[in-house]
Amino acid sequence: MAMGRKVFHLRKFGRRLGTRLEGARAREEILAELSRLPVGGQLLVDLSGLEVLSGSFADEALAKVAEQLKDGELSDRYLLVKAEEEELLEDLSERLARRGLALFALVGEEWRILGRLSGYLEETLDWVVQHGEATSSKLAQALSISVKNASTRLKELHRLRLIELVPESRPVGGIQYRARAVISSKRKG
Amino acid sequence: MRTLDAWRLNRELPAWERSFPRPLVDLSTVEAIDPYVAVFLVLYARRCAEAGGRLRLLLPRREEVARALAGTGLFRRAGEAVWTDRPPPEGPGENSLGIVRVEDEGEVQGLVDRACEVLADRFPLGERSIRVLAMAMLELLQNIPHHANPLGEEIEPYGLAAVQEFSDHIHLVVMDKGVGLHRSLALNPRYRGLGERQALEAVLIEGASRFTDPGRGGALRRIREVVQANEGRMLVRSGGAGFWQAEVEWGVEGVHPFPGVQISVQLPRALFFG
Repeated sequence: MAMGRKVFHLRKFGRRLGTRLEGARAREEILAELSRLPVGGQLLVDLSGLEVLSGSFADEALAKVAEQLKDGELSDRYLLVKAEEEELLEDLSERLARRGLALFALVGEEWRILGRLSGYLEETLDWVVQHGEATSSKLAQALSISVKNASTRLKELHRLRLIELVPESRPVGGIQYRARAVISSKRKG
Repeated sequence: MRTLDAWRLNRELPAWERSFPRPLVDLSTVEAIDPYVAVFLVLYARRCAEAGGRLRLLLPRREEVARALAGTGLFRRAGEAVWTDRPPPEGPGENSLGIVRVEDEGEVQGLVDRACEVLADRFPLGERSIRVLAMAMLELLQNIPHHANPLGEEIEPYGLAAVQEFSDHIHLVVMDKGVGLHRSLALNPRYRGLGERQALEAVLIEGASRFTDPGRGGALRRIREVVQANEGRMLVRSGGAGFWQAEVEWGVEGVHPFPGVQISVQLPRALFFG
């Protein structure tokens, strides 16, 4: 699951990251790293060593990248962040929420979602992370929702780059999509 | 007059303005001067000079008060734009947190790093306090190149910043004499009809921005929330409106008009040992 996960250290831009100008420089590098990843690859932006990550920098460097991914650029590449302290992520989460985006954050041994994710999508994502993978029929059964509804939820989570959707042949013919979690941690913070 | 602070300045400004561009500012009886006032006087001196006049200062009679005023970097920064009734004392030495000019976004990160390092040398800043102070500085300082003259008019915003430590608080001041929040916000059609006070409230309470991009703006609101959460004080003056926040209470009122945006943020020093 964590195969193809490359780490990008934001610390190289300084300890206190604040301006949009610097954030735009970081965004260029992050996008370049994402574009070099293989299909299914993940870029883990590590915030270790940072004292400050301002909302302006976070918006330029990370929220705008997440928005580009949501808009369909760099398909099947995934962006995650890692921080030692949750407080450092507050401004990033606020900027993501304002853009209607969500991003996985790894804090210690736990994961959480930054930004904004509706309750039903969060429920779905929790289930996929807990089980590692899901098909819409399995998810529909587990959450007592229709297969169509489950399928819609998985597509939306995929659009937000929070899960992978892998096509596979159905035993009865045709194609179905299998959702895979992009993180392996089971503990949600 | 014992202490000349932002509140007192608001009351004195109409009298000073009557003799603009050659106002006489009498500091002779002042016993303490707020850094907000020191930075404001540099900005005011600049504005007077641009109008063909000169700011005239009667220095504090008490030598230690005059030295403290010089220690802010006021006279070094204002130069010939200010006249004083006697030669001002020596200015600050190296490692000072005195008044700095903010012209370009590219220099903001370096300015903030230097300020944080000077503060860290003087007393042990906790990680949280550095985060709060640096975040506020980074956002406020970059607002000057971003917002003080958004249409590239024939004006010199003349952005300035200063940080000063006191026994009970840290005081951050950032100001310019650019177009002001009201005119900047009016570039967003959604806020075009707002008055000055409403514009200030929209920026500080709602997080309104001149940009339609949802990721932009909100920095002043965020700082206000941080100030509130840490039982600090904040004052934002822009044009003819002033916003104040003291702990959980806030208000917006009319003030004597002055171009640009002038911001004062006071954070309790207890936060810096957390």
